[in-house]
Amino acid sequence: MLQANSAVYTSPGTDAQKEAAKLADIYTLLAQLMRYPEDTANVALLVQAQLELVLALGWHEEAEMLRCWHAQCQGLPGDLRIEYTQLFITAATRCSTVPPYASVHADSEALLQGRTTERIHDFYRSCGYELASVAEPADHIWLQLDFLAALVHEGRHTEGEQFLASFFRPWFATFKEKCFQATAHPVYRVTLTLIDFFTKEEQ
Amino acid sequence: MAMNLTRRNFLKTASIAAASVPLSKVAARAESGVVKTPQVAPGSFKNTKTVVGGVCEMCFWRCQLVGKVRDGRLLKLEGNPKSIDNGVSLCARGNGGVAMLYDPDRLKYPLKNVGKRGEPKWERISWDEALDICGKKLKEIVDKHGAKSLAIFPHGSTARYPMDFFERTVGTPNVSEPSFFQCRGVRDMAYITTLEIAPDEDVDMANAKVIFLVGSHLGENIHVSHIKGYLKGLERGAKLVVLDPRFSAAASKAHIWVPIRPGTDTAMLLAIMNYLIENEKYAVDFVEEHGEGFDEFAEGIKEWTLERAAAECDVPVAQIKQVADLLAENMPNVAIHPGRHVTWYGNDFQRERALACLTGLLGAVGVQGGLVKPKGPKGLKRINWPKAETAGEGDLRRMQDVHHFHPPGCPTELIREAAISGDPYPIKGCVIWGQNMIQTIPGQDRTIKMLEQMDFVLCTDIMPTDITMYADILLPDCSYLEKYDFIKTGTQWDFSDEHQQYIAPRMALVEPGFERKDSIWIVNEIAKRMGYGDKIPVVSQEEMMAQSLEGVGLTLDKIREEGGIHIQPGEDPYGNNEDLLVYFFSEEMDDYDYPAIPTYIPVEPPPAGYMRLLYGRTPLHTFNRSINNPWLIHEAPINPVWVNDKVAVRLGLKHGDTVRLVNQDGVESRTTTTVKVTPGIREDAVYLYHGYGTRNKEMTFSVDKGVDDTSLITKIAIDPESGAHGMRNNFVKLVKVG
Ligand code: SF4
Repeated sequence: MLQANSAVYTSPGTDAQKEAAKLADIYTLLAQLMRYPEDTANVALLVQAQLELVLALGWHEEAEMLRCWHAQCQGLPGDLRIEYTQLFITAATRCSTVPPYASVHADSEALLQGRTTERIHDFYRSCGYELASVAEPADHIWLQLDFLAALVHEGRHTEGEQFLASFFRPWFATFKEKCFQATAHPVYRVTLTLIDFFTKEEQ
Repeated sequence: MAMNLTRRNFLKTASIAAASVPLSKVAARAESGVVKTPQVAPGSFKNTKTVVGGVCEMCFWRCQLVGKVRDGRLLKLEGNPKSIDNGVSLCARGNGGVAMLYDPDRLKYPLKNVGKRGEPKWERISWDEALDICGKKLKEIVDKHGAKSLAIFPHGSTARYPMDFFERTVGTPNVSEPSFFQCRGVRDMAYITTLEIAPDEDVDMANAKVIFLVGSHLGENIHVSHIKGYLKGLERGAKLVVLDPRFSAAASKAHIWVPIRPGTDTAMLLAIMNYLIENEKYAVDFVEEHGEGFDEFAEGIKEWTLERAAAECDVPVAQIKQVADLLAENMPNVAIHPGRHVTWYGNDFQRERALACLTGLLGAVGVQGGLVKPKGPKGLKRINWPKAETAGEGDLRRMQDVHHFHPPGCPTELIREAAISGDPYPIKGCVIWGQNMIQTIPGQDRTIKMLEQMDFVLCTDIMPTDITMYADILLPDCSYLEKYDFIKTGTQWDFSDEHQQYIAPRMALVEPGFERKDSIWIVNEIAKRMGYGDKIPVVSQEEMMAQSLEGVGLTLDKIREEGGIHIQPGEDPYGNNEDLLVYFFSEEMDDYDYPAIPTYIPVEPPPAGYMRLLYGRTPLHTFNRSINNPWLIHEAPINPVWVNDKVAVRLGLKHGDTVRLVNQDGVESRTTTTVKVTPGIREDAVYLYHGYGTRNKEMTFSVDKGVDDTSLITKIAIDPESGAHGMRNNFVKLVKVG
């Protein structure tokens, strides 16, 4: 099991290593936010960390949105669960569940377990990673973010960048746009904005 | 958002320090979805394997499959080369199974409706929570109102185990299957009453000299080995007679197409039989040996002259005579097809009786080309839930002393009526398993009313079909490609080939994804929570298979080694008519005051300005069951309404115009479709493929595509003998849109 912790931040090491450790933790946070919010105790931690990150970034508008939601819903996991279900799983009364799987957005057939899923899974393996025992396809966004966290944590930036360029970015933009059309929920809008920020190409 | 900040800069800033503690706390608790393993060179997972043991269930025919599987991912389905049934062939829907398996709209997790029935808001919940709710709610209802207060609407092989649990062990009599009350049940009961044979579709078309189809649109209605037999028969020179108001695919191959007035088939059958009897062109010896009540029958149908039938059916006298003579010249080797979906007018028992009598009159039972029951393998053990002593108490049909020739289960309308009225007792719990009742049962408003008054509604399905919008708890089932739940048996499809039998247990081709579970597991868990844990007959689907196969000395492993199908020597299915009786006059029916000889009961004609709404199958769909399949909906995206060309001129409609349909009660179709202008349909009818017009937006490939014909079936007819629905007594007009 891969784990990062704050010890990394303060331990001796190069700046690059410290930055990698921070980025790995951020990817882990984003992966966790894109998982189904099952564990109530964890949800509280996640939304708090999300808010702190947004504040650290100086994103005042997003911070305000999150604060409002925290105040209204007191970070209730029930609210997040319903929203997650509506947005990513099954939403009977609205027209746009957005499945969080790359193949649905990247492949012309728009099916689960498509060619993209297979290629992403193969890439994990070629980097020495396999899915933990999860019943989700390999291209679920949280698995991709966890994989990125693992690569970055190991300092494998070239492979990380290759993954982002070849597998992640090609579908994420469409996915994010569809999600933005489908939800006004601050937690998911901000999470997607964060993912965008931390995965986009930088010169 | 600060626009100029880059990720790299941000990671270098001091401000991240404030977030570092919560971030590290999250990271410390997180379980990663990926784990470190030895590096694997690309290409190492490229070995595509052939997995045997699949049994298709895109329709009920259950062709045998193999799957091409790579790295746990199903790439392609093919017919199992070992199959003596479908062989290597699959129909389009069978091939489309891959797209069903990976349809992103499929149900993946247990869901709880935290909104309203019909306007659900879903929350994913754990299996434990879902099962606890189901067990508690169902038990509360049974404790309060008795087992009979549960209504069960099952469909398909996935639903047999749950149906048996609720019917036998819990004990509710209120179980209604669409295959019986909205499809074939009338046929089976009429044939059993007449010939003591449940006919299925067992006509030996491959070896027939005449194939006689009444409304059966083979070719659009595709079941692989059935179609093989049909085409082989035609190839061998069989003459094809098709009675259909529409120029169907079968009509296009017919030697005689009879564009009969809808609803009058029984009149034509009676006239044919009367003509054959009057002219002694029937199987006299056979009738003498096997017939019961023949004289009363002959006397009773005397009024049905060719002329009378011609006027009633809007068919020339000469054509009825031509059909009758063709049958007589080729008897007994004539395949009088009993049909499959036969719940048309609410008088269907009589038509099916007439077909069975015609079969008997021509001596076409147990002979080449006739009605021939295949001799399949025997000995498979049937595993079942134990029957409670109180099972069946509160049988609505018995209480009302109606529908004495009903197929198994309770007529749907009796359950629906009792649930809505609360009379004679409340029905407060509903279990719907694999059935989209919105499109199987006519009178959608009444179905919704029934569900609205329930205390609890449980749906289990693979797709979010329209009915699932009314569930309180919605459970994700495994599809037929992900489980072991059925053993298909049979014989080679052409009886002129070497006689063989096969046993093909369904085996999972791939692991179930997400949190889908098979129905045996689900029902066992609910049973435990309802207090029936000690009655559970098997603990898993694999055990169920193993026990069934024990009866024939086989195991799953052995059959897998044999290529997924066990083949053994078969028996000659012909002959064996010694005990056969043909009840031309049924005393049993007479006792219950039903017409004891096949009787024509006229149906209401279309009111002025309206046309009768007919519906049927497209070869690309099994109704709503496959409608969301991305591959199939791509090939057949809507159901154009067939309109006669002369009518179209009168109505000012052109091919491709968009229309809405409005029925005799003023009910409008929610969606629109296009017009198909054709001389290939009578002027008094229009035709739609059934299963379109999905309303649940979660069926993203099919929502709002085409028109839902069931929504327009608001006038409900009930077949008195069987209690089955009749669904072709509604009329529509077309309103041009835009
Ligand atoms: S006829 Fe087609 S859909 Fe039906 S079982 Fe065979 S392959 Fe499957």
